[in-house]
Amino acid sequence: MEKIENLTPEQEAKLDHYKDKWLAKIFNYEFYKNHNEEKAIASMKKLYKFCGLEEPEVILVDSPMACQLKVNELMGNEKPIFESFSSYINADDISWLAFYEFFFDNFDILDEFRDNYNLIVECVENSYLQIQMDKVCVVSKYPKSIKRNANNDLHSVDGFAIEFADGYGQHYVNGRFIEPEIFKECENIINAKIAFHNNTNEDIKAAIITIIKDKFGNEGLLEMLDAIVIDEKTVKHVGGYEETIRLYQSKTSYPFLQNSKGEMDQPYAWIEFTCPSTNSVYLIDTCPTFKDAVKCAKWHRPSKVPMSVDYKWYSAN
Amino acid sequence: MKFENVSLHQGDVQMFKLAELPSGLNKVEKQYIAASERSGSFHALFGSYDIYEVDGGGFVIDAHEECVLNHSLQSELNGVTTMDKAVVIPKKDHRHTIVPPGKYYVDIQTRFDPLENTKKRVID
Repeated sequence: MEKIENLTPEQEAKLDHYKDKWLAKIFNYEFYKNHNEEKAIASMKKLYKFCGLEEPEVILVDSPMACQLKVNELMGNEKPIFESFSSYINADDISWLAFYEFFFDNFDILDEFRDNYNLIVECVENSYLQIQMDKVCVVSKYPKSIKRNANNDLHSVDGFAIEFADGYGQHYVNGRFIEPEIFKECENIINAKIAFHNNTNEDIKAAIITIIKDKFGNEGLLEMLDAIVIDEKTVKHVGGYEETIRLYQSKTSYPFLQNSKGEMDQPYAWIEFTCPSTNSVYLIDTCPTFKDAVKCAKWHRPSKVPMSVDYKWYSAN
Repeated sequence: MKFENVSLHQGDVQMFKLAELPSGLNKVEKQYIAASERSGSFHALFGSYDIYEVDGGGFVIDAHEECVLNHSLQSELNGVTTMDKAVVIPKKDHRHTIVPPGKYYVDIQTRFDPLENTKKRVID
């Protein structure tokens, strides 16, 4: 087989076309809209035959959750257990299908594999995920709705970030999965406030803050926290990265809260950081004695780092 | 520890350059710098380096060459069986961080617990 060492500029210029074409199949819902039940069933039977397995009964369902429920029903499980989805021949394969289509279309070195490639394409076109079992293959259709942020991470503060035809969906905020209970709490500020105070996981708290900020603005966030801004500083780091840090305090003091000097009857206090990779906003519990956001940010570094070390990131991700 | 003014962070994992390797450290096997029970993600340094435990938590890293700090998932490790090579692994949330050769103190950002008047590592 001939080895390709380099692509010409003309060939490289074609790559984006293949990338966009295959991404559109999922994100413009081509696979969802063009779902063909007959082809889905036939292609899965061909796949089992190709692998030397007995022809399966192919069951089509609308979502990955429906796959799980169907398999548990078939297995007679009284208490549902998670069954693994197939690792291959599903939506995850579109990156390498796009890669090989480029080579099939522009070179002739892979022609002997074209039939096998076409079989996989037939399967992937009509199967978002499957659970492959002896004699039975349960196939989920593609999602009908996918919402993402500017980084292309799954993201929606108004509803499911990914949703299937049967109504099953999942919530994501800046790419992070959020449990439905937490998402529901964020429908109003009072419930969000309770959820925020009851959670110790910073990613969950960040999701609550992001949802409230997006839905109700900064005023909504301050209302949720019952807080005022104490300080705001913008820090220029190495390489042009700029970070805005804010200090907040609740308007009310509480007899059970302490500051770092052990004095009781203190307000809640938070320092706000924004993740440079995901843009998620984090409010970290802090000591209410701080009036300077940068000094406070230094104090939240690991305990062995002296305050004399500058608050300046050479790399922030 | 003698700190220099060079700091890097990847999410809540923060690295601070040291002027020299502190004495009396206990060298340990390469391991994740941090891992999230909730999401299954990890922060791990890949490349040629030694890692030492620090009393009270955190690590000192002696990076012999440019290393890569990855934030990723176990499922993305396809075929990567050691942390000895400076490879970039598909990210979970945070972009990979290039760590120049040198000595570093690495640990997790902290939060203040106003109920207990203590500083704790943040949890994600």
